[in-house]
Amino acid sequence: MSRIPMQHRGKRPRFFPVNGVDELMSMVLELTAELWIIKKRLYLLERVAGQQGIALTPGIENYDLSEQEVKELDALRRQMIATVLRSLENEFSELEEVRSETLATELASESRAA
Amino acid sequence: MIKNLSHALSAPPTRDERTRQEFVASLRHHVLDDMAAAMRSRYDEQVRSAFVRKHGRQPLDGDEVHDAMLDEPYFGFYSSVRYNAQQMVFRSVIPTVDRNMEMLNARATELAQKPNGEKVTLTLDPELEIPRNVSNIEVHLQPGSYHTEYQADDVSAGAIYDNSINVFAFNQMGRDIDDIGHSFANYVRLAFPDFTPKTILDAGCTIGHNTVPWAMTFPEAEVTGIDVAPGLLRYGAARARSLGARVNFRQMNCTRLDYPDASFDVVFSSMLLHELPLRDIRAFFREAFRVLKPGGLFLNMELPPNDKLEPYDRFYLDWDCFYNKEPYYKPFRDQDYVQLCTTAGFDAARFIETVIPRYTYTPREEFAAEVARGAQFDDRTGRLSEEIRWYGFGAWK
Repeated sequence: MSRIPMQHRGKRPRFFPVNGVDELMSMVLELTAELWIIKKRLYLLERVAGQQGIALTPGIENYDLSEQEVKELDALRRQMIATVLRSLENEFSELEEVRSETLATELASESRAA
Repeated sequence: MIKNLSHALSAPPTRDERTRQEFVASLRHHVLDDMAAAMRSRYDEQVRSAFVRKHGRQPLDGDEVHDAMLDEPYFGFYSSVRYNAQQMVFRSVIPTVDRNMEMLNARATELAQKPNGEKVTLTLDPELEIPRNVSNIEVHLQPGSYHTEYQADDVSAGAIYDNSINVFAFNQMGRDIDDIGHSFANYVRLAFPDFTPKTILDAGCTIGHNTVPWAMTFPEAEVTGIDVAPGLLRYGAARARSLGARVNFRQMNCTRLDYPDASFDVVFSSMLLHELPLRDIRAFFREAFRVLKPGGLFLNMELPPNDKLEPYDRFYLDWDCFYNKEPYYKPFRDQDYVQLCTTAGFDAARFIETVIPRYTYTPREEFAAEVARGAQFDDRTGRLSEEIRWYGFGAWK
């Protein structure tokens, strides 16, 4: 968890008349960034291995993952999905704010009525 | 390809972080270049003619172009990619800065203790109230804005600023994002060869990236940078120390300058005015007039005024005002810049303005010829691309 916040406060602008398209745009762009990072890393991996005389492809096909490695990959995959879907999280936290504001208004009017 | 910043406060990214930063820089390049050109074509081929059919005339200003473009789906995609790319700029550098926070803070302290560290002075004012336009608005969508400190004696805000602009500018703002400073210091040197400033103030200097070039161009001058944000100034002082520059940094609000009358030969600012409410711009101009010596120069590098641009270019530059948390951007650009100067006490006859290419990207002779040519406005003026030309204005006292 970063100590410096990663997301600006307040509402995000809307650029599309249909609900959901703004979020889908964020997902596609974040996903493309993640994909590019992986593609570049694989590119480097193959070259570094080749430099050291290791033919990677058959090794990758036949590799058995340990229990610890499976756990590590699970965590990394969850992090990647959270990043790709981050615009939905923001949307829901905004909704929570709206709900709590509505609740506060209701409580205030109830106390006035009392 | 993003280059590491060439000074000692460069925060080392992991390979994946750097790859992400490169992706975001490329995405910004794509939206500001390819998508901007495609959007302009849509406007020329469809939107403008539809406007003319409906109204019987061409659009008169940026607002009318903006309203017409809201119905153009491509504008939605352009804006969405640009808005997301802006968020991704910060998301690509914050993890690097966050992980390196302790190292950067320690390095800034070490630099102050080294021999020659005293060439740079840093004077903070813990009593200074952070103005609401900084504390309440996350300018440019920067999470935490510019003033937040995350540890004691923290330079993180400066590191976020430096690294994020390095990504944001896709290599178009100078090797150490310092081209604006070099361009305007050298503009003054070439345009006014008889003027040798001895005291120079850079207001709203952030990390001093455009302050240091003044000290390099006029090595005899005493150069001072002021800003309201302590983390930016701490980082700026350490950055200047590592570059061997001689600069003073002080925490101060440009609307209330703690200097006697007639203290400076040059009062400079870059990209500052469009971040200020109009009343603060007016206060800063009055203060600039007061602290300038007679015969001194007030010079602001800024976005060009709307009245000098075609309606489409006004709309294009004003995008930030609506979608990038820059609420003062358009109100500033709608001003008459001459009147801003004269209201503060400057003489209209002594108003100057210029449009120049980038000094660190342009052959020396060509730069000098462009300085001599005077201000000529077009769609490259103030618009970040490989063709960008900087705009500046001000007045002699």
